[in-house]
Formats: sequence, C-alpha cells, structure tokens
Amino acid sequence: MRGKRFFRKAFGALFVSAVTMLSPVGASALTQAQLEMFAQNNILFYDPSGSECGSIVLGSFDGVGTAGLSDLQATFVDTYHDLAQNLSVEYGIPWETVMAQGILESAAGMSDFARYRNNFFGIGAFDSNPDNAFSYDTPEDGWRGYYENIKNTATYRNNGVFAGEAITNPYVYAQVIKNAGYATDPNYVSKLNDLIGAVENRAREKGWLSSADLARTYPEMLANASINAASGDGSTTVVVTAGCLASGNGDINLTALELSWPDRTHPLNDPKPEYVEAMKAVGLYQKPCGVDKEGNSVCPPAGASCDQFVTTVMKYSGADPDFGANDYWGAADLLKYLSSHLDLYEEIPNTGSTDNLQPGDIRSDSGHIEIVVQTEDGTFKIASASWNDRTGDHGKNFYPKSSFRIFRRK
Amino acid sequence: MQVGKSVKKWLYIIGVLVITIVAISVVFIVIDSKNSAKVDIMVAPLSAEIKIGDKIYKNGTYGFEPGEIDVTISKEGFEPESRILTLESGATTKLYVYLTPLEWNKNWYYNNREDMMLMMAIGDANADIESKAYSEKNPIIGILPIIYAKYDDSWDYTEFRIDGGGFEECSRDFCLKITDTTGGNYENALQLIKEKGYNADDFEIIYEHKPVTPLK
Repeated sequence: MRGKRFFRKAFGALFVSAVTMLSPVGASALTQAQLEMFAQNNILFYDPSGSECGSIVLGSFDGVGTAGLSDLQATFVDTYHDLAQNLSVEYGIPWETVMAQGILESAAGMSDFARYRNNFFGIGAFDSNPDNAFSYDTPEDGWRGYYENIKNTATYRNNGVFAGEAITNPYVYAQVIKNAGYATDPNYVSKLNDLIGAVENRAREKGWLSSADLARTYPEMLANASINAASGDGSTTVVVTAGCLASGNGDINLTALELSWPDRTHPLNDPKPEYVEAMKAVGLYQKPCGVDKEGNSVCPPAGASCDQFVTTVMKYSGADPDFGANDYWGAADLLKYLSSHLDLYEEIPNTGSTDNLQPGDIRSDSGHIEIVVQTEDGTFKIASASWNDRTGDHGKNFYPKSSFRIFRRK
Repeated sequence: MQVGKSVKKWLYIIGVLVITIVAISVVFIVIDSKNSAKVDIMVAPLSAEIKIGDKIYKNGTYGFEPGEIDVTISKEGFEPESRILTLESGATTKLYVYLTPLEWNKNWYYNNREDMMLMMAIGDANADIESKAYSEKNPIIGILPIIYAKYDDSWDYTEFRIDGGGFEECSRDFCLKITDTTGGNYENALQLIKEKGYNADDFEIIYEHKPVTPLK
C-alpha cells in the first residue's frame, strides 16, 4: 500500500498546514536539498520515487460482486481504497467511513460534483448554491479536501473526531461526526453504517487492512490524529506530495484524457502540449520513423503513433513505469508485453460491447493499440494516436473489433 | 484563287485536328469511366503479392471498372488473405491489410521493423475506418454507456446503466442492454434514452436485473 512510501523523519510540534504539491509535470523525485529541509523541519513527506505509483487505477473492479455493493460501488471502492487508506494514516481517520461517505455523497463517483469538480463529498456546497462547491484539480485533491475539511473544522476537532475509538472504528467515527453536526438527516448514520459494512466486506475479500489494522501497522496514524486534534490553532501540519511522474496518480484514464485532445481535428504535427511534456519526461520524445505504403522512409512528428501514445500514458501516469520494457516499438511488441505480464494485467473477454469495459482498459491487436477512457459525461471514448493522420486524441467512439485483446491493469 | 485555296487547306487541317482531339477525349472519357472506381492499396509486408484478377499490383492507388473484384494477398510464411471488393463509380475503396505470420514465422515482423511500422499504419487506419463506420451505423454509441446512480433525499439509491454492442443475447448486430442494479428501472432507462434524443423503439433492448447481494 502507498502508506509504505510515507516517511516521517521525526515527530515535532510544528507542522505546516498547507498541502504543497510539487509540479506534477516532469516531477520525478525530491531533491537532496528538499529531503534535508524536510528532515530538519520534521516534515512528513511522500516519496515520489517510490515504485508503487500505480495504485489508483480507475476501473479495477474484478467482476466479483460484494455483499452490499453494486458493481459500480465496488469499482469506486477498488479505485480509491489505496488513496483513502493513505489519507487515513496521514490524518487519523478511519478510511471505511470516508469510503462509505464517498459512495453515499457522490453516488459512487457519478454525481456532477464528482465528475466535473473531483468533489466527492460536496465540500463547500453547504447552502443551496451549487456554484459554491469546491472544484479540485484531481481526484486525489478532492479526497484530501474531505480530510482537510474535517481537520480544519473546530466543531469536529473539538467533539472527539480525532480521539479514542473514532480513529480506528468506522462506526464510532460515523456517529461522532454526525453528533458534531456533519449531517442533519436522521437516516444518515444508518445508511452510512450499511455501506461501511459493505466496504468492510470488500476489504476482507481483497485482503486490505482495516483502520484498526492500519493503526497497528502504522503507529503514526494515532500520532497524526493527536496532532490533528490540536491543530487549527497555530500548530500545523505539512504534507508534501509529489506525483510519481506526471499527474503522478497511476491513473491511466485521467492521464490519457489529460494527454490527448478531446476531438479528432488535430493533425500529426499538433500534439497537445501536455503530451509533448509527458513524452519528454519519460524519454519517448522522438519521431516514430517507418515506411509509407510505397516503401519510402518517413518520420512523422513525435507522438504520431498509437504505441507511442499508449506507452507514454502508461509510463507517465506511473501505472506501469516499465511498460513495453523500455522499447515502445510497435503495437505488436506491446501486445506481446501485455500478454506476457499477466501478473500485472488481467485479460478481459472481448464481448464486442461496452458493458464489461472499464476506463483504463487497453485494447490491442498486432496493428493497433488504444486505451478506453471515460469522459466527464460518463461516456466511453477511445484514446490513441494514428500513425496516418492524427496525434493523440480521445475523440473516437467505442467500436467492436474481434481481433482485439483487452487487458486491464490489476 | 490562291488565297481561297490556302484558307480551305487551313480549315481542313483545323477540322482534322478538332475531330482528332474530340476522338481522343472520347476514348479517354470512355477509358476513364471504365476505370472510374479507385482502389487504395496498403498491404504489409511490402513484399507480399497482391493479386487482383489476373494482375499483380503493388501498394498504391489504381483505377478499376465498377463492380466486384477478387483480391488475394499472399506471402510465404503468412496466412493468405482473400477479399471480394465491391467497387463503386467515383468512389475510392481502401484495401488496407496486413498479413499474419504463421506460427513458425511469428517473429517476422519483429525482425523487419519497417514492415512492422507499416503494419501499424494499416492497423491505425483500419481502427479509424471501423470506428467511423460503426458510429455512423449506430450513432447512439457516442453517448454510451449511460450510467445512472443517485441517492435521493431519503438516501434511497437508484442505479442502472445502459450499454451498447453485439451482446450474446442480441439477435442484431447492435443492441442496447439495460443492467438494472436497484430494480424497477426499465421505464426509467427508456425515458433516459428518449431524453438523450433517441427512440428506444429503434433498438433491440436486453434487460437484466442484477441486484446487489444483501449484507449478511
């Protein structure tokens, strides 16, 4: 789990409150100077050079139903459990409750706030004006927004949120925040408790640590709760995060969307600037030379080929830094890579329809490779580039192709 | 008179020239109309034999008479491909094919990188062509899947999704499938399809109630 990559140099009274994000583009590792500065100032930091950057992969539902959860809800849980667990250790809040709240308050990520603002908890939408709801750049920011909201609201801090069983028992925490005024609806806690039970079922099936297990495994969880209980009145916390590469979230879907144009009007020589940056960051900024149909040597602009696009997304997102084994040559090579790394990828049956696809799935035959993405409006599109005439975009609709094999990052 | 003879001679020459030009144009027009259908050929490997009728072709664009043509593409060590193309006057038909190596020859493309890139150019192009054709035939695919998930004010939950494609239960090439998680949403799904600008009656619809397993 990603919590392994959190390091604490020392506990101290003074932590800084702002959450600092290092520039995601091109960020690869903290500098020695930064490390020393963090150590000197007792700063908790997240090591961006960790090798487990692929923890958030949209659409990792394994197809096995879980009692109390729909497939959509299970996908949501699978997608965000690593992040929720990390934040739970960091803040001292039981992740099962937050996950259940996320399901309840964002309809498992399908609410407009979640889809268009990465706001899974309605943060800021306290009155009837939806425009006041906060907008976050990334899902990770949106999740962190919940924890920050709890930490920075005196009513919660002063009413036992970061104390006793509330830190590790999701049901106690649910009741405590309700008592502290989180929700006025009398049914809120009972609905939440049902979902917490379902999330616990999912955790058991997946072998994830419960919040109580987390506290035993990562003692800093309790210490962080203690610090947060006293925060908001001068004492502060610093968390420095830096992405793996790129948006650094291991999220194939979001990275593919970020690196590609949304429409099909961009010729080979017009790659999205973010795509160019990403290719440079992962060492793939080069012309994909080959031959045209007459056999003449041609070198289209960098980013023109489908294999280059998919490889860039997989490496840059951190979902698979070794994707293609350092060689992006050809869709056929990548298909060979995928089919020979079934420890990392699960092969999904090709049913010729959208119902068993998930965002982030990779479809390929020897001649072409592409990524299934889900846009903000919920529809599935195909992200790739075409060696013939178009740089990376996600303007193509789903289409069935029997020769495709489909792979899903585990 | 001398002048009159000269004029006659020139008129005669011009007349002959005009007739010749017209005749040649007619011949070209006839030939061109016979070959008014184009075939754009892109095949990998480059060294594959492309046979249309009795003639051998290379990659490129050629004119043919409208109608059906038999195409065979072969190369030793590869699965041969054959196609029957229906050519239309004034239209260009794309013949984009890459041959698949036989098992004993499976590394051929890996050892012939330029052909591998050509294979990918063909694969990319075919993907675009197939996607475009599928969307034109089934434009609703552009708004699928529709995933509806919502808690109401009483925290009652509604969830269903609408997918598209050639499902196993589907008797047509394309069907819509409603997967109803919370139950009783068939009509809601049809209404949603209508709100998106499509007529549900135009589709074969598969309905599946897939309830959440209750908590123990």
